[in-house]
Amino acid sequence: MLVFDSPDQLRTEPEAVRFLHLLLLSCLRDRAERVEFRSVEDGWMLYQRVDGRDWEMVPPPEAVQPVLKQTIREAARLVAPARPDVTVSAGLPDARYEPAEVGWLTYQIRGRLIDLAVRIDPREPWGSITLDLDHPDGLSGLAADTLAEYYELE
Amino acid sequence: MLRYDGPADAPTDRPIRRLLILVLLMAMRDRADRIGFRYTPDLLSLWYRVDGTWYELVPPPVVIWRDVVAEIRRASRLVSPELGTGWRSAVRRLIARPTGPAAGWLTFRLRGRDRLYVVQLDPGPARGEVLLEVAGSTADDPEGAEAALGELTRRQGGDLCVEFDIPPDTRK
Repeated sequence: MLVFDSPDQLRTEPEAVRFLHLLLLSCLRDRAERVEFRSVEDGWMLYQRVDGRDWEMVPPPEAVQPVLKQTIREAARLVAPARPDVTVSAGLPDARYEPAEVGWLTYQIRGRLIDLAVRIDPREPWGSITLDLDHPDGLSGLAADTLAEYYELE
Repeated sequence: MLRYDGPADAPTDRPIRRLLILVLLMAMRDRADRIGFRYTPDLLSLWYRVDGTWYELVPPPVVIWRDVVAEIRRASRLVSPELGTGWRSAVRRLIARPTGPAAGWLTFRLRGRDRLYVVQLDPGPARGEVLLEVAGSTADDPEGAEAALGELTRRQGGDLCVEFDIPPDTRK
């Protein structure tokens, strides 16, 4: 769960968490239906979907990219599919197994709550992280005011 | 997990389980990539999407909606949103599990091969939806599904139906 109480609290957060807050606030302000990180060969591309159209956004900062997926995992409540027990006896060097996951990221802005449906396709590259907002209009005004307050104090 | 190894896995005395198995088999046979149950107090509709086009199937009786949701919850691995803090969270606690929205995975095992569905479940109260979406790179066996449906049809004397025990005053 991500909780926004005040701009001062946001400044004390780690850079990746702060980035996630600011991204969600700006997407809520823009009434986005979806936020999507797409993994490409040299990092992550970022898009938001407004009225059915995907708009490319500035990609996450370089310092955030390596910890992006983990930051979202820690903020969200996710579940992986049931999987039969297997033993991997051979594989590519440095290969690792990450399950696909779906779940929820609950965002709380000054006591108001919104649930974003999260889906993680863990492949790197060509995987993605999508955050879907069911009712993007609900917190638009509050998100705009919150962002304005944050950047005013900056 | 829902599994089908033979007709005994779609028993006529468990109609909700049987309905789900039949829908999953038909969806696999027809290469549908999404299945949707949509609920309003007047209608429960059943859809699936093939090549980007949604097709409506014969609607099940609306009174089985809660049982369908409960069966999918039992068969799936789901997670609910967090409840938050503050007074608004108290309201969420009232409508949260086991009746609130959930997301997760449903595995359908057809004769040992697993097909994964991403589940989005919003049970209502006024409007509800369950969406099952085939996860990428998962087992697909249309011929196996067709064979299973043929087996079930033969077992039931050439008819593939599900009978629900519905009280007369709730029939729609």
